[in-house]
Amino acid sequence: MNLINVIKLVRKNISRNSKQLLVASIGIVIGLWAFSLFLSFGLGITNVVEGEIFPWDKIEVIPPATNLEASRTRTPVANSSACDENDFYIDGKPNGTVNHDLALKFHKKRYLDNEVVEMIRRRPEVRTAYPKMKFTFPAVAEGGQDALHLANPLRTEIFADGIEPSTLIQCNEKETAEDMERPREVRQCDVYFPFQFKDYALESDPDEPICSTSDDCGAGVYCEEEDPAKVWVFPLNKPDVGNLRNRYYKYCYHAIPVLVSTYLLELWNGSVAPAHGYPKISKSTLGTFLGLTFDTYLGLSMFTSKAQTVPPITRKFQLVGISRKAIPLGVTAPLTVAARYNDYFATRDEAGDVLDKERPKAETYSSIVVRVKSKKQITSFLAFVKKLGFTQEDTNAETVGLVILFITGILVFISFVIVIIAAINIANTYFMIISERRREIGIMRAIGANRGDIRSIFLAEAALLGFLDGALGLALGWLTATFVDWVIWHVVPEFPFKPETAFHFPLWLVISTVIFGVAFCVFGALFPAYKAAKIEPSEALLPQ
Amino acid sequence: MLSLPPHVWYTRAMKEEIISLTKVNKYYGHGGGRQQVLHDLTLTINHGDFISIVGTSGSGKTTLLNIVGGLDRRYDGTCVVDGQQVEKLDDKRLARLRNETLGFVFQSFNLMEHLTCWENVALSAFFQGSNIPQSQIYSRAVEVLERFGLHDKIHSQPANLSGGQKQRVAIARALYNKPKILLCDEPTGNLDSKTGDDVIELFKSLNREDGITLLVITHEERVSKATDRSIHLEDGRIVSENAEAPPVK
Ligand SMILES: Nc1ncnc2c1ncn2[C@@H]1O[C@H](COP(=O)(O)OP(=O)(O)OP(=O)(O)O)[C@@H](O)[C@H]1O
Ligand SMILES: [Mg+2]
Repeated sequence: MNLINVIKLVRKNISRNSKQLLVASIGIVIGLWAFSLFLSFGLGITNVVEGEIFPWDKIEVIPPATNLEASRTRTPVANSSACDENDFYIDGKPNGTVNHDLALKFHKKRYLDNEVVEMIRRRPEVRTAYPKMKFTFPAVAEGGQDALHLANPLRTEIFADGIEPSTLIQCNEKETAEDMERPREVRQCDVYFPFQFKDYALESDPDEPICSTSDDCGAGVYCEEEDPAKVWVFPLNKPDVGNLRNRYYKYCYHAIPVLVSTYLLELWNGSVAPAHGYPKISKSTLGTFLGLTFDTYLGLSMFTSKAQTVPPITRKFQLVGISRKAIPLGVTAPLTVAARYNDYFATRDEAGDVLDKERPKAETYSSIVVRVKSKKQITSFLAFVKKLGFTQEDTNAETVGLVILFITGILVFISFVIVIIAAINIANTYFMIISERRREIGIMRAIGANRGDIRSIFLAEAALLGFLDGALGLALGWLTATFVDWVIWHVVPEFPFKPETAFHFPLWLVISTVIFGVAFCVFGALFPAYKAAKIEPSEALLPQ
Repeated sequence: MLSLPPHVWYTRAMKEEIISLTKVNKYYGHGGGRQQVLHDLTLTINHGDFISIVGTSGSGKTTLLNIVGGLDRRYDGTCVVDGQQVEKLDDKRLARLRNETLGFVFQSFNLMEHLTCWENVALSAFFQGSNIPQSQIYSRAVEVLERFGLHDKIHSQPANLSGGQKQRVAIARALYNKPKILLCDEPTGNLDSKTGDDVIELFKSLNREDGITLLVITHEERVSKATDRSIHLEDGRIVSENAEAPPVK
């Protein structure tokens, strides 16, 4: 039999029994609708979770849990002391190429430093790696009454860390304008123009002008009491600071640029803002929140009434961007800022005087955030991390992923059950159709159809029906998804990580939905088709 | 008019047998309900014969035709059609025999109501082994339909045709693949005498001009009179083979 002819014949057959077949197909269509909808929902949610909440490619390398302190204070391990540091460089001198094997063998590190960052960056699995340093002292932020039109300033305990500014995408004016137009998920800029993310203290003139009010300084620059931690950076210029409680001079200091996470933005929009009646930060109003400054009391905590041992420092923090690289709940400052204040609080006594202690090294990090190139390489990278003696921060991403997989699996299973039951319905309908077409089968046999031809005609008919059902189920699934997205976007109030779309229809899903439609309809028609082929032509031709 | 195909001359000269049944027994049912419908039937039909089968209702005429036409293989004995032993053919070969060598015409026309006339006629092309170009399938259907005066019904649905027209479409369908044998079961049974006569004339011309062997079941005398030979069946036995003198050609 010729394919074109079969299709022609089959098309005519379907349109002849269209009503019957439509009723029989309802189950298949519903099943495939459910299949495409549930599966695309599972995939869409996985995308949100893996892309935004727990990025699949993000691994945070941390020191071993038993040795948390070591991340801050450098305590060399026994076997590393036996080994000269220069051994780890292939050409025997610092800043040369690291010999990984040697480093691994003799230098099981207990702390994360630039060398570890460098080793991780050289791994073939790694796309990017940047170090993070947590603030190891408490801090309280205060402000926002102007931006939020409040009577009193907001006051909150904040958690902070520092990251290397070079790991951020700092956008110029044009890029910033373009980026603001993008949906949140695909926004690329970490820092928006005209702001910059850097440690101004490192480059500013140590002999800043003395001021009395911020008006004496430029834009974004504030007149503040001398930063005792900054003095620590330039001990030569300020050798005799002495007791820091006696501050007589004020200097012009640039506000410390900080980033907040997209997560915090989601939390603000989804929970904090609605609960307290504060304005939400949307695409259009983001600009007004950028540049917002707030006073931060470093070394002060709202959680404890216990007096701080080291006198707190007041600094201005300025919001300069919203970044995925920022700490989820808190603010992220330039790395050297974190290093400097950690240093300061770790080495001072109550009077603010320098303790006679080994100073922790600025480049001892609390974690290294790694982005791997592909999912497959995660295992080998983690093995490397383990070999180095480190571990990874548990994000619960795997558990969440499993839960999503499990729920999606159940829903897909249910839709399969629907389709299987529907296939039985298809079988019934075809048994009926075949007894209706009994004579026709006889005629076709008389004209020259063999058993296989009869079987093929019915199976081809079921396949075409299944194709149509699959396409219809898919179209309905897609329409439902579009509608649900619309509802989420326009009707449901903001919630954290409210996605642009909760569904994902990859090509394989589209194809497999249609294939399942074909497969189950053919499956349903299988027995009837065999039965039809078995009828003796002489009997099929008997008058009814 | 189609020119005479070579096998017409050949068969007329040789009187070669095209159908031969030897000791065919046919039963229906099993056990106690078992009923013998054909008894030791032996019959030979030659190329170019125009034969009628007559007999009372239930005498086994349709059963005989089904066996000859390869529609029923559950019988004892031997049946050879166009040199092929029917009971030894597998399903595919038998289907091909029906497709290429045999044509069927039924009392109730048996057209597919959901297909147009030309599609009904071209249906046997659908089951041919080789891939025939679409245009060729269509032009052959038109050719046959035109021959039977149905040029204006090519795209009609069978429901819109008269009984005579329907039967002519059915005959066109049977002749589509240029069969050697045409098997007809009461072809004029549902037609009035005028259109019935037209069909008889058609059969005559098919027999004379195209050399097609015709086997026509009928209970009408005017039909059996038109044929060369009349086989009379009674209770599954041939009671007489009334061979009339072939008309002068
Ligand atoms: N499929 C069948 N199952 C059982 N018995 C059958 C079957 N087909 C025919 N018969 C019986 O076989 C006998 C012969 O039937 P057949 O149809 O060959 O007769 P017929 O000569 O064609 O009669 P009619 O002129 O009425 O068409 C009848 O008694 C009939 O009841
Ligand atoms: Mg009969």
